[in-house]
Amino acid sequence: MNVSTMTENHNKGARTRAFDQAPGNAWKAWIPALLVLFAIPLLLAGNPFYIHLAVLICLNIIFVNGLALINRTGQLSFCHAAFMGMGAYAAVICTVRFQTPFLISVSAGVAVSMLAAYLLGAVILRLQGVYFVLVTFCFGELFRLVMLEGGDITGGANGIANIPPARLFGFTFDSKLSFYVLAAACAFLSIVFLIALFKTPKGNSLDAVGDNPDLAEASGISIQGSQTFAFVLGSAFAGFSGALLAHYLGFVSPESFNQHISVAAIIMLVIGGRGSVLGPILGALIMTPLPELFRSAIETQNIMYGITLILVLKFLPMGLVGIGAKLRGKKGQP
Amino acid sequence: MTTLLKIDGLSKTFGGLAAVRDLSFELKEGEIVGLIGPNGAGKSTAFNMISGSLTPTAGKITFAGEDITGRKPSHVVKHGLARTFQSATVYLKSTVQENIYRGALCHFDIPVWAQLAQTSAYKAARQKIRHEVDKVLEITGLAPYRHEIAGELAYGHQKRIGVAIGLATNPRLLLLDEPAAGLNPEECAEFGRLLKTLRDEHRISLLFVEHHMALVMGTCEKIIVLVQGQKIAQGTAEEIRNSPAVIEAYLGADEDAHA
Repeated sequence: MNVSTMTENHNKGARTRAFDQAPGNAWKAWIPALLVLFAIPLLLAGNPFYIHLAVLICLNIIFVNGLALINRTGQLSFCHAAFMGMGAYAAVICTVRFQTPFLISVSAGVAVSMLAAYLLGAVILRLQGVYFVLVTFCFGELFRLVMLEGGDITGGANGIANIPPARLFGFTFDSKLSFYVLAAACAFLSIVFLIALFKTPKGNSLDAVGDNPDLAEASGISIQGSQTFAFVLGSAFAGFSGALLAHYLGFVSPESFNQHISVAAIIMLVIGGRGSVLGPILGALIMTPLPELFRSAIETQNIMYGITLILVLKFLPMGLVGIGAKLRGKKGQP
Repeated sequence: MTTLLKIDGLSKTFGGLAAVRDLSFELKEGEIVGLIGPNGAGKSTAFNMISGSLTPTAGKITFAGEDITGRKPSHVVKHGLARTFQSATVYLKSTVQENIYRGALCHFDIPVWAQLAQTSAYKAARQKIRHEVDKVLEITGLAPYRHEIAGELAYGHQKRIGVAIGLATNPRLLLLDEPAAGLNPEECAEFGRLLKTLRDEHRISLLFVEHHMALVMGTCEKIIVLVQGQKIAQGTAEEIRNSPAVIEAYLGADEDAHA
Protein backbone atom coordinates (compact mmCIF):
# COMPACT_ATOMS: atom_id res chain seq x y z
CA MET A 1 0.00 0.00 0.00
CA ASN A 2 1.37 3.38 -0.91
CA VAL A 3 1.36 5.08 2.44
CA SER A 4 3.08 8.26 1.35
CA THR A 5 0.43 8.93 -1.28
CA MET A 6 -2.21 8.58 1.37
CA THR A 7 -0.64 10.93 3.86
CA GLU A 8 0.22 13.55 1.27
CA ASN A 9 -3.17 13.56 -0.37
CA HIS A 10 -4.98 13.15 2.90
CA ASN A 11 -7.72 15.56 2.19
CA LYS A 12 -7.41 16.71 -1.33
CA GLY A 13 -10.62 18.40 -2.25
CA ALA A 14 -11.81 18.95 1.29
CA ARG A 15 -13.50 22.16 0.32
CA THR A 16 -14.95 23.08 3.61
CA ARG A 17 -17.63 25.67 3.38
CA ALA A 18 -17.92 26.47 7.05
CA PHE A 19 -17.37 30.13 6.40
CA ASP A 20 -19.43 30.53 3.25
CA GLN A 21 -22.50 28.74 4.44
CA ALA A 22 -25.03 30.33 6.63
CA PRO A 23 -24.99 28.07 9.70
CA GLY A 24 -27.79 25.56 9.84
CA ASN A 25 -28.63 25.01 6.18
CA ALA A 26 -26.99 21.65 5.50
CA TRP A 27 -28.54 20.24 8.68
CA LYS A 28 -31.98 20.23 7.14
CA ALA A 29 -30.85 17.84 4.42
CA TRP A 30 -28.51 15.73 6.51
CA ILE A 31 -30.59 14.83 9.51
CA PRO A 32 -33.67 13.36 7.72
CA ALA A 33 -31.43 11.47 5.26
CA LEU A 34 -29.50 9.91 8.14
CA LEU A 35 -32.65 9.05 10.05
CA VAL A 36 -34.07 7.27 7.00
CA LEU A 37 -30.79 5.40 6.53
CA PHE A 38 -30.75 4.22 10.14
CA ALA A 39 -34.43 3.21 9.97
CA ILE A 40 -33.97 0.85 7.01
CA PRO A 41 -32.63 -2.11 9.10
CA LEU A 42 -35.76 -1.94 11.26
CA LEU A 43 -37.71 -3.10 8.21
CA LEU A 44 -35.47 -6.16 8.05
CA ALA A 45 -35.98 -6.94 11.73
CA GLY A 46 -37.11 -10.47 10.90
CA ASN A 47 -33.66 -11.53 9.81
CA PRO A 48 -31.16 -11.54 12.73
CA PHE A 49 -28.21 -11.73 10.34
CA TYR A 50 -29.11 -8.43 8.72
CA ILE A 51 -29.58 -6.80 12.11
CA HIS A 52 -26.20 -8.17 13.17
CA LEU A 53 -24.63 -6.59 10.08
CA ALA A 54 -26.43 -3.32 10.77
CA VAL A 55 -25.02 -3.24 14.31
CA LEU A 56 -21.50 -3.82 13.01
CA ILE A 57 -21.97 -1.09 10.39
CA CYS A 58 -23.05 1.38 13.08
CA LEU A 59 -20.09 0.52 15.29
CA ASN A 60 -17.75 0.81 12.32
CA ILE A 61 -19.18 4.23 11.47
CA ILE A 62 -18.22 5.45 14.96
CA PHE A 63 -14.83 3.74 14.67
CA VAL A 64 -13.99 5.14 11.21
CA ASN A 65 -15.35 8.58 12.15
CA GLY A 66 -12.59 8.71 14.75
CA LEU A 67 -9.97 7.80 12.17
CA ALA A 68 -11.38 10.39 9.76
CA LEU A 69 -11.09 13.08 12.43
CA ILE A 70 -7.40 12.24 12.97
CA ASN A 71 -6.81 12.13 9.23
CA ARG A 72 -8.34 15.57 8.72
CA THR A 73 -5.31 17.03 10.54
CA GLY A 74 -2.98 15.19 8.17
CA GLN A 75 -2.01 12.13 10.22
CA LEU A 76 -2.79 8.51 9.38
CA SER A 77 -3.03 6.30 12.46
CA PHE A 78 -2.23 2.63 12.01
CA CYS A 79 -3.10 1.76 15.60
CA HIS A 80 -6.73 2.78 15.59
CA ALA A 81 -7.75 -0.75 16.56
CA ALA A 82 -5.48 -0.55 19.61
CA PHE A 83 -7.53 2.36 20.93
CA MET A 84 -10.70 0.45 20.15
CA GLY A 85 -9.23 -2.45 22.11
CA MET A 86 -8.24 -0.23 25.00
CA GLY A 87 -11.77 1.08 25.27
CA ALA A 88 -13.15 -2.45 25.02
CA TYR A 89 -10.81 -4.03 27.57
CA ALA A 90 -11.09 -1.16 30.05
CA ALA A 91 -14.89 -1.20 29.85
CA VAL A 92 -15.10 -4.99 30.08
CA ILE A 93 -12.70 -5.20 33.02
CA CYS A 94 -14.85 -2.61 34.82
CA THR A 95 -18.06 -4.50 34.03
CA VAL A 96 -16.81 -8.02 34.77
CA ARG A 97 -14.35 -7.49 37.63
CA PHE A 98 -15.91 -4.49 39.39
CA GLN A 99 -19.57 -4.94 38.34
CA THR A 100 -19.86 -1.26 37.43
CA PRO A 101 -22.98 -0.12 35.50
CA PHE A 102 -22.73 -0.07 31.70
CA LEU A 103 -22.56 3.72 31.47
CA ILE A 104 -19.65 3.91 33.92
CA SER A 105 -17.80 1.09 32.15
CA VAL A 106 -18.12 2.75 28.77
CA SER A 107 -17.01 6.10 30.22
CA ALA A 108 -13.99 4.39 31.76
CA GLY A 109 -13.16 2.76 28.42
CA VAL A 110 -13.36 6.07 26.58
CA ALA A 111 -11.30 7.80 29.29
CA VAL A 112 -8.55 5.16 29.08
CA SER A 113 -8.38 5.51 25.27
CA MET A 114 -8.20 9.28 25.52
CA LEU A 115 -5.50 9.23 28.18
CA ALA A 116 -3.40 6.73 26.22
CA ALA A 117 -3.85 8.77 23.03
CA TYR A 118 -2.82 11.94 24.84
CA LEU A 119 0.34 10.37 26.26
CA LEU A 120 1.26 8.65 22.99
CA GLY A 121 0.39 11.75 20.96
CA ALA A 122 2.59 13.99 23.10
CA VAL A 123 5.55 11.82 22.11
CA ILE A 124 4.85 10.81 18.50
CA LEU A 125 2.75 13.61 16.97
CA ARG A 126 5.90 15.55 16.10
CA LEU A 127 6.56 12.83 13.53
CA GLN A 128 5.10 13.39 10.08
CA GLY A 129 3.96 11.21 7.21
CA VAL A 130 5.38 7.74 6.96
CA TYR A 131 7.29 7.94 10.26
CA PHE A 132 4.09 8.53 12.19
CA VAL A 133 2.45 5.62 10.35
CA LEU A 134 5.35 3.32 11.27
CA VAL A 135 5.34 4.21 14.96
CA THR A 136 1.58 3.80 15.24
CA PHE A 137 1.88 0.43 13.50
CA CYS A 138 4.39 -0.67 16.14
CA PHE A 139 2.18 0.64 18.93
CA GLY A 140 -0.76 -1.35 17.61
CA GLU A 141 1.32 -4.51 17.70
CA LEU A 142 2.61 -3.66 21.17
CA PHE A 143 -0.96 -3.31 22.45
CA ARG A 144 -1.91 -6.73 21.06
CA LEU A 145 1.13 -8.37 22.68
CA VAL A 146 0.48 -6.70 26.04
CA MET A 147 -3.13 -7.97 25.99
CA LEU A 148 -1.84 -11.41 25.05
CA GLU A 149 0.61 -11.45 27.99
CA GLY A 150 -1.78 -9.75 30.38
CA GLY A 151 -2.36 -12.87 32.51
CA ASP A 152 -5.49 -12.91 34.64
CA ILE A 153 -6.29 -9.27 34.03
CA THR A 154 -6.81 -9.55 30.26
CA GLY A 155 -7.33 -13.30 30.08
CA GLY A 156 -4.37 -13.72 27.70
CA ALA A 157 -5.10 -15.40 24.37
CA ASN A 158 -8.48 -16.60 25.63
CA GLY A 159 -9.65 -13.06 26.21
CA ILE A 160 -12.64 -12.33 28.40
CA ALA A 161 -15.95 -14.06 27.76
CA ASN A 162 -19.44 -13.92 29.28
CA ILE A 163 -19.63 -10.17 29.31
CA PRO A 164 -23.10 -9.17 30.46
CA PRO A 165 -25.18 -7.22 27.90
CA ALA A 166 -25.48 -3.47 27.99
CA ARG A 167 -27.96 -2.03 30.50
CA LEU A 168 -29.15 1.56 30.46
CA PHE A 169 -31.71 3.09 32.83
CA GLY A 170 -33.09 -0.31 33.75
CA PHE A 171 -33.41 -1.55 30.15
CA THR A 172 -31.28 -4.49 29.03
CA PHE A 173 -30.08 -4.49 25.42
CA ASP A 174 -29.92 -8.25 25.18
CA SER A 175 -31.49 -8.75 21.76
CA LYS A 176 -29.84 -7.86 18.45
CA LEU A 177 -32.64 -5.49 17.55
CA SER A 178 -32.55 -3.57 20.83
CA PHE A 179 -28.79 -3.24 20.60
CA TYR A 180 -29.17 -2.00 17.05
CA VAL A 181 -31.29 0.89 18.31
CA LEU A 182 -28.56 1.80 20.80
CA ALA A 183 -25.74 1.46 18.22
CA ALA A 184 -27.65 3.43 15.59
CA ALA A 185 -28.35 6.23 18.06
CA CYS A 186 -24.65 6.40 18.97
CA ALA A 187 -23.54 6.32 15.31
CA PHE A 188 -26.06 9.04 14.49
CA LEU A 189 -24.78 11.21 17.34
CA SER A 190 -21.17 10.70 16.30
CA ILE A 191 -22.00 11.84 12.76
CA VAL A 192 -23.95 14.87 13.98
CA PHE A 193 -21.07 15.73 16.31
CA LEU A 194 -18.58 15.68 13.43
CA ILE A 195 -20.83 17.78 11.19
CA ALA A 196 -21.20 20.31 14.00
CA LEU A 197 -17.49 20.28 14.81
CA PHE A 198 -16.42 20.96 11.23
CA LYS A 199 -18.77 23.92 11.10
CA THR A 200 -17.00 25.62 13.99
CA PRO A 201 -13.77 27.62 13.79
CA LYS A 202 -12.09 24.78 15.69
CA GLY A 203 -13.01 22.36 12.92
CA ASN A 204 -11.82 24.85 10.35
CA SER A 205 -8.46 25.14 12.09
CA LEU A 206 -8.13 21.32 12.11
CA ASP A 207 -8.69 21.37 8.34
CA ALA A 208 -6.15 24.19 8.02
CA VAL A 209 -3.51 22.02 9.71
CA GLY A 210 -4.37 19.14 7.38
CA ASP A 211 -4.24 21.34 4.26
CA ASN A 212 -1.02 23.21 4.97
CA PRO A 213 0.61 22.64 8.38
CA ASP A 214 3.39 25.22 7.97
CA LEU A 215 1.00 27.97 6.98
CA ALA A 216 -1.38 27.07 9.81
CA GLU A 217 1.45 27.17 12.33
CA ALA A 218 2.69 30.51 10.95
CA SER A 219 -0.77 32.03 11.29
CA GLY A 220 -1.29 31.04 14.88
CA ILE A 221 -2.88 27.57 14.65
CA SER A 222 -0.63 25.19 16.58
CA ILE A 223 0.08 21.98 14.64
CA GLN A 224 0.84 20.04 17.80
CA GLY A 225 -2.24 21.36 19.58
CA SER A 226 -4.61 20.62 16.70
CA GLN A 227 -3.23 17.17 16.02
CA THR A 228 -3.29 16.25 19.70
CA PHE A 229 -6.91 17.39 19.91
CA ALA A 230 -7.87 15.30 16.87
CA PHE A 231 -5.84 12.27 17.99
CA VAL A 232 -7.35 12.25 21.50
CA LEU A 233 -10.90 12.83 20.27
CA GLY A 234 -10.55 10.36 17.38
CA SER A 235 -9.20 7.72 19.74
CA ALA A 236 -12.11 8.41 22.09
CA PHE A 237 -14.44 7.48 19.21
CA ALA A 238 -12.46 4.26 18.75
CA GLY A 239 -12.58 3.45 22.46
CA PHE A 240 -16.31 4.12 22.55
CA SER A 241 -17.01 1.81 19.61
CA GLY A 242 -14.81 -0.85 21.26
CA ALA A 243 -16.69 -0.65 24.54
CA LEU A 244 -20.00 -1.02 22.69
CA LEU A 245 -18.70 -3.90 20.56
CA ALA A 246 -17.48 -5.84 23.59
CA HIS A 247 -20.86 -5.56 25.31
CA TYR A 248 -22.61 -6.54 22.10
CA LEU A 249 -20.52 -9.63 21.30
CA GLY A 250 -20.04 -10.57 24.95
CA PHE A 251 -16.46 -11.49 24.23
CA VAL A 252 -13.06 -9.78 23.70
CA SER A 253 -9.67 -11.21 22.75
CA PRO A 254 -6.41 -9.63 21.60
CA GLU A 255 -7.12 -10.78 18.04
CA SER A 256 -10.34 -8.73 17.96
CA PHE A 257 -8.13 -5.63 17.84
CA ASN A 258 -5.14 -6.64 15.72
CA GLN A 259 -3.59 -4.81 12.78
CA HIS A 260 -6.18 -6.22 10.36
CA ILE A 261 -8.81 -4.14 12.11
CA SER A 262 -6.70 -0.99 11.86
CA VAL A 263 -6.11 -1.68 8.18
CA ALA A 264 -9.82 -2.37 7.67
CA ALA A 265 -10.62 1.04 9.17
CA ILE A 266 -8.16 2.71 6.81
CA ILE A 267 -9.66 0.84 3.84
CA MET A 268 -13.16 1.96 4.83
CA LEU A 269 -11.98 5.54 5.16
CA VAL A 270 -10.10 5.58 1.86
CA ILE A 271 -12.84 3.84 -0.11
CA GLY A 272 -15.57 5.96 1.42
CA GLY A 273 -13.63 9.17 1.08
CA ARG A 274 -11.32 11.21 3.28
CA GLY A 275 -12.04 14.80 4.12
CA SER A 276 -15.82 14.42 4.10
CA VAL A 277 -18.26 13.48 6.82
CA LEU A 278 -20.04 11.21 4.33
CA GLY A 279 -16.89 9.16 3.61
CA PRO A 280 -16.79 7.01 6.78
CA ILE A 281 -20.53 6.30 6.47
CA LEU A 282 -20.19 5.08 2.88
CA GLY A 283 -17.01 3.15 3.68
CA ALA A 284 -18.52 1.35 6.66
CA LEU A 285 -21.75 0.69 4.78
CA ILE A 286 -19.98 -0.98 1.87
CA MET A 287 -16.98 -2.62 3.47
CA THR A 288 -18.56 -4.06 6.64
CA PRO A 289 -20.84 -6.64 4.97
CA LEU A 290 -18.20 -7.85 2.51
CA PRO A 291 -16.19 -10.13 4.84
CA GLU A 292 -19.43 -11.49 6.29
CA LEU A 293 -20.89 -12.25 2.86
CA PHE A 294 -17.69 -13.80 1.50
CA ARG A 295 -16.71 -15.91 4.47
CA SER A 296 -16.02 -18.87 2.20
CA ALA A 297 -13.44 -16.85 0.27
CA ILE A 298 -11.52 -15.76 3.34
CA GLU A 299 -8.14 -16.45 1.75
CA THR A 300 -8.69 -14.33 -1.33
CA GLN A 301 -10.49 -11.63 0.64
CA ASN A 302 -7.33 -9.75 1.67
CA ILE A 303 -6.09 -9.86 -1.90
CA MET A 304 -9.36 -8.31 -3.01
CA TYR A 305 -8.99 -5.61 -0.35
CA GLY A 306 -5.49 -4.77 -1.54
CA ILE A 307 -6.57 -4.56 -5.17
CA THR A 308 -9.60 -2.43 -4.30
CA LEU A 309 -7.47 -0.07 -2.26
CA ILE A 310 -4.92 0.38 -5.05
CA LEU A 311 -7.66 0.95 -7.62
CA VAL A 312 -9.43 3.49 -5.43
CA LEU A 313 -6.21 5.39 -4.71
CA LYS A 314 -5.36 5.39 -8.40
CA PHE A 315 -8.70 6.32 -9.90
CA LEU A 316 -10.72 7.77 -7.03
CA PRO A 317 -8.28 9.44 -4.64
CA MET A 318 -11.23 11.11 -2.95
CA GLY A 319 -13.03 7.80 -2.48
CA LEU A 320 -16.64 7.14 -3.37
CA VAL A 321 -17.57 10.62 -2.14
CA GLY A 322 -15.33 11.89 -4.94
CA ILE A 323 -17.64 10.41 -7.59
CA GLY A 324 -20.38 12.87 -6.68
CA ALA A 325 -17.93 15.78 -6.72
CA LYS A 326 -16.56 14.63 -10.09
CA LEU A 327 -20.03 14.43 -11.62
CA ARG A 328 -20.90 17.88 -10.27
CA GLY A 329 -17.61 19.25 -11.59
CA LYS A 330 -18.29 17.87 -15.08
CA LYS A 331 -21.76 19.33 -15.11
CA GLY A 332 -20.36 22.69 -14.07
CA GLN A 333 -17.99 22.80 -17.04
CA PRO A 334 -19.89 23.12 -20.31
CA MET B 1 9.85 55.76 18.02
CA THR B 2 10.19 52.71 20.23
CA THR B 3 12.15 49.61 19.32
CA LEU B 4 9.81 46.83 18.18
CA LEU B 5 12.23 44.09 17.22
CA LYS B 6 15.71 43.67 18.62
CA ILE B 7 18.07 41.03 17.27
CA ASP B 8 21.13 40.46 19.40
CA GLY B 9 24.09 38.27 18.39
CA LEU B 10 21.92 35.83 16.45
CA SER B 11 23.79 32.79 15.09
CA LYS B 12 22.85 29.52 13.45
CA THR B 13 25.15 26.68 12.48
CA PHE B 14 24.15 23.60 10.50
CA GLY B 15 26.82 21.01 11.30
CA GLY B 16 30.04 22.84 10.48
CA LEU B 17 28.38 25.51 8.37
CA ALA B 18 27.72 28.87 9.98
CA ALA B 19 24.64 30.10 8.09
CA VAL B 20 24.24 33.22 10.21
CA ARG B 21 26.98 34.66 12.39
CA ASP B 22 26.48 37.18 15.17
CA LEU B 23 23.70 39.16 13.51
CA SER B 24 22.43 42.19 15.41
CA PHE B 25 20.00 44.88 14.35
CA GLU B 26 16.96 46.78 15.54
CA LEU B 27 13.65 47.63 13.96
CA LYS B 28 11.67 50.58 15.24
CA GLU B 29 7.89 50.83 15.30
CA GLY B 30 6.64 51.94 11.88
CA GLU B 31 9.84 51.19 9.98
CA ILE B 32 10.19 49.31 6.72
CA VAL B 33 13.43 47.36 6.78
CA GLY B 34 14.91 45.30 3.96
CA LEU B 35 17.29 42.38 4.39
CA ILE B 36 19.32 41.81 1.24
CA GLY B 37 22.34 39.80 0.20
CA PRO B 38 23.53 37.33 -2.43
CA ASN B 39 22.19 33.77 -2.59
CA GLY B 40 23.25 31.71 0.41
CA ALA B 41 23.94 34.77 2.55
CA GLY B 42 21.73 33.47 5.35
CA LYS B 43 18.75 35.79 4.78
CA SER B 44 16.16 33.05 4.90
CA THR B 45 17.83 31.40 7.89
CA ALA B 46 17.73 34.69 9.79
CA PHE B 47 14.13 35.13 8.71
CA ASN B 48 13.14 31.64 9.88
CA MET B 49 14.79 32.18 13.24
CA ILE B 50 12.91 35.42 13.82
CA SER B 51 9.56 33.87 12.89
CA GLY B 52 10.24 30.81 15.05
CA SER B 53 10.55 28.08 12.40
CA LEU B 54 14.21 27.57 13.31
CA THR B 55 15.79 27.65 16.76
CA PRO B 56 18.93 29.82 16.89
CA THR B 57 22.24 28.29 18.00
CA ALA B 58 23.01 31.47 19.90
CA GLY B 59 21.64 34.97 20.35
CA LYS B 60 18.47 36.62 21.49
CA ILE B 61 15.35 37.90 19.73
CA THR B 62 13.23 40.44 21.56
CA PHE B 63 9.88 41.50 20.18
CA ALA B 64 7.81 44.23 21.80
CA GLY B 65 9.82 43.84 24.98
CA GLU B 66 9.41 40.07 25.20
CA ASP B 67 12.06 37.44 24.62
CA ILE B 68 10.71 35.21 21.82
CA THR B 69 13.91 33.27 21.12
CA GLY B 70 13.12 29.67 20.20
CA ARG B 71 9.35 30.10 20.52
CA LYS B 72 7.12 28.29 18.04
CA PRO B 73 5.66 30.28 15.11
CA SER B 74 2.11 29.82 16.42
CA HIS B 75 3.21 31.45 19.68
CA VAL B 76 5.19 34.26 18.06
CA VAL B 77 2.34 35.21 15.72
CA LYS B 78 -0.05 35.63 18.66
CA HIS B 79 2.29 38.34 19.96
CA GLY B 80 1.92 40.26 16.72
CA LEU B 81 4.81 39.02 14.59
CA ALA B 82 3.43 37.40 11.43
CA ARG B 83 5.25 36.07 8.38
CA THR B 84 4.59 35.18 4.77
CA PHE B 85 6.32 32.48 2.74
CA GLN B 86 8.68 32.71 -0.19
CA SER B 87 6.55 30.76 -2.61
CA ALA B 88 2.86 31.55 -2.67
CA THR B 89 1.67 29.58 0.35
CA VAL B 90 -2.09 29.46 0.64
CA TYR B 91 -4.80 26.91 1.37
CA LEU B 92 -5.18 25.90 -2.27
CA LYS B 93 -8.57 24.21 -2.02
CA SER B 94 -10.29 26.91 0.02
CA THR B 95 -11.85 30.15 -1.13
CA VAL B 96 -10.00 33.42 -0.74
CA GLN B 97 -12.15 34.53 2.17
CA GLU B 98 -11.72 31.17 3.89
CA ASN B 99 -7.97 31.53 3.58
CA ILE B 100 -8.15 34.87 5.32
CA TYR B 101 -10.67 33.55 7.85
CA ARG B 102 -8.19 30.86 8.88
CA GLY B 103 -5.59 33.55 9.46
CA ALA B 104 -8.07 35.55 11.51
CA LEU B 105 -8.62 32.52 13.78
CA CYS B 106 -5.23 33.37 15.31
CA HIS B 107 -6.77 35.29 18.20
CA PHE B 108 -9.94 33.24 18.42
CA ASP B 109 -9.85 31.72 21.89
CA ILE B 110 -13.43 30.60 22.48
CA PRO B 111 -13.29 27.00 23.83
CA VAL B 112 -14.57 24.19 21.59
CA TRP B 113 -17.56 23.35 23.77
CA ALA B 114 -18.74 26.96 23.56
CA GLN B 115 -18.35 26.84 19.77
CA LEU B 116 -20.45 23.68 19.61
CA ALA B 117 -23.02 25.09 21.99
CA GLN B 118 -23.19 28.32 19.93
CA THR B 119 -22.99 30.56 22.99
CA SER B 120 -23.58 34.27 22.54
CA ALA B 121 -19.90 35.01 23.27
CA TYR B 122 -19.01 32.67 20.41
CA LYS B 123 -21.47 34.30 18.03
CA ALA B 124 -20.12 37.76 18.88
CA ALA B 125 -16.52 36.61 18.36
CA ARG B 126 -17.47 35.00 15.05
CA GLN B 127 -19.12 38.21 13.90
CA LYS B 128 -16.00 40.14 14.82
CA ILE B 129 -13.89 37.76 12.74
CA ARG B 130 -16.17 38.22 9.74
CA HIS B 131 -15.64 41.97 9.97
CA GLU B 132 -11.89 41.49 10.18
CA VAL B 133 -11.95 39.26 7.10
CA ASP B 134 -13.92 41.91 5.19
CA LYS B 135 -11.44 44.57 6.27
CA VAL B 136 -8.43 42.53 5.12
CA LEU B 137 -10.17 41.76 1.80
CA GLU B 138 -10.60 45.51 1.25
CA ILE B 139 -7.03 46.45 2.20
CA THR B 140 -5.44 43.84 -0.05
CA GLY B 141 -7.83 44.47 -2.93
CA LEU B 142 -8.96 40.85 -2.90
CA ALA B 143 -12.63 41.60 -2.29
CA PRO B 144 -13.68 40.86 -5.92
CA TYR B 145 -12.13 37.38 -5.62
CA ARG B 146 -13.49 36.44 -2.21
CA HIS B 147 -15.47 33.43 -3.42
CA GLU B 148 -12.81 32.12 -5.82
CA ILE B 149 -10.80 29.01 -4.98
CA ALA B 150 -7.30 30.20 -4.06
CA GLY B 151 -5.53 27.48 -6.07
CA GLU B 152 -7.30 28.58 -9.26
CA LEU B 153 -6.08 32.18 -9.08
CA ALA B 154 -2.95 33.67 -10.72
CA TYR B 155 0.36 33.49 -8.88
CA GLY B 156 0.37 37.22 -8.15
CA HIS B 157 -3.01 36.93 -6.47
CA GLN B 158 -1.88 33.92 -4.47
CA LYS B 159 1.06 35.94 -3.14
CA ARG B 160 -1.38 38.64 -2.16
CA ILE B 161 -3.51 36.06 -0.34
CA GLY B 162 -0.36 35.01 1.52
CA VAL B 163 0.05 38.58 2.76
CA ALA B 164 -3.67 38.79 3.52
CA ILE B 165 -3.47 35.68 5.75
CA GLY B 166 -0.58 37.32 7.59
CA LEU B 167 -2.56 40.56 7.93
CA ALA B 168 -5.58 38.71 9.27
CA THR B 169 -3.54 37.69 12.32
CA ASN B 170 -3.51 41.41 13.17
CA PRO B 171 0.28 41.83 13.35
CA ARG B 172 2.39 44.75 14.53
CA LEU B 173 5.29 43.50 12.43
CA LEU B 174 4.94 41.59 9.19
CA LEU B 175 7.88 39.56 7.87
CA LEU B 176 7.79 39.06 4.12
CA ASP B 177 9.98 36.43 2.47
CA GLU B 178 10.77 37.58 -1.11
CA PRO B 179 7.36 39.12 -1.78
CA ALA B 180 8.32 40.15 -5.33
CA ALA B 181 9.75 36.80 -6.48
CA GLY B 182 7.86 35.59 -9.53
CA LEU B 183 5.85 38.78 -9.99
CA ASN B 184 5.85 40.80 -13.21
CA PRO B 185 6.95 44.47 -13.03
CA GLU B 186 3.37 45.70 -12.88
CA GLU B 187 2.39 43.34 -10.05
CA CYS B 188 5.63 44.25 -8.32
CA ALA B 189 4.91 47.98 -8.36
CA GLU B 190 1.40 47.28 -7.10
CA PHE B 191 2.88 45.19 -4.31
CA GLY B 192 5.20 48.02 -3.34
CA ARG B 193 2.20 50.34 -3.05
CA LEU B 194 0.38 47.80 -0.88
CA LEU B 195 3.37 47.61 1.47
CA LYS B 196 3.48 51.40 1.82
CA THR B 197 -0.25 51.46 2.55
CA LEU B 198 0.14 48.85 5.27
CA ARG B 199 2.68 50.99 7.05
CA ASP B 200 1.18 54.42 6.44
CA GLU B 201 -2.50 53.65 7.02
CA HIS B 202 -2.46 50.54 9.16
CA ARG B 203 0.69 51.22 11.21
CA ILE B 204 2.25 47.84 10.50
CA SER B 205 6.03 47.65 10.54
CA LEU B 206 7.63 45.54 7.82
CA LEU B 207 10.79 43.50 7.52
CA PHE B 208 11.45 41.83 4.24
CA VAL B 209 13.96 39.67 2.49
CA GLU B 210 14.17 40.56 -1.18
CA HIS B 211 16.22 40.20 -4.34
CA HIS B 212 14.29 42.80 -6.28
CA MET B 213 16.54 45.85 -5.85
CA ALA B 214 14.06 48.41 -7.19
CA LEU B 215 11.44 47.31 -4.67
CA VAL B 216 13.94 47.35 -1.79
CA MET B 217 15.51 50.69 -2.70
CA GLY B 218 12.12 52.26 -3.34
CA THR B 219 10.32 51.00 -0.23
CA CYS B 220 12.78 50.50 2.63
CA GLU B 221 13.97 53.17 4.99
CA LYS B 222 16.67 50.94 6.34
CA ILE B 223 18.54 48.21 4.52
CA ILE B 224 20.69 45.51 6.06
CA VAL B 225 23.16 43.67 3.85
CA LEU B 226 24.13 40.11 4.71
CA VAL B 227 27.06 38.33 3.09
CA GLN B 228 28.13 34.84 4.14
CA GLY B 229 26.02 35.00 7.25
CA GLN B 230 27.41 38.32 8.46
CA LYS B 231 26.07 41.83 8.37
CA ILE B 232 28.42 43.93 6.27
CA ALA B 233 26.42 47.13 6.01
CA GLN B 234 23.33 48.89 7.29
CA GLY B 235 21.81 52.18 6.29
CA THR B 236 19.49 54.06 3.96
CA ALA B 237 19.18 53.15 0.29
CA GLU B 238 21.62 55.94 -0.59
CA GLU B 239 24.20 54.81 1.96
CA ILE B 240 23.96 51.20 0.82
CA ARG B 241 24.33 52.15 -2.83
CA ASN B 242 27.58 53.98 -2.07
CA SER B 243 28.96 51.57 0.51
CA PRO B 244 32.33 50.15 -0.67
CA ALA B 245 31.74 46.90 1.25
CA VAL B 246 28.43 46.30 -0.54
CA ILE B 247 29.83 47.14 -3.96
CA GLU B 248 32.70 44.74 -3.29
CA ALA B 249 30.33 41.96 -2.21
CA TYR B 250 28.03 42.36 -5.19
CA LEU B 251 30.43 43.36 -7.97
CA GLY B 252 33.76 42.02 -6.70
CA ALA B 253 36.76 43.98 -5.43
CA ASP B 254 37.97 46.84 -7.58
CA GLU B 255 41.50 45.70 -8.32
CA ASP B 256 42.68 49.14 -9.36
CA ALA B 257 41.82 50.54 -5.96
CA HIS B 258 44.24 48.16 -4.30
CA ALA B 259 46.97 48.58 -6.86
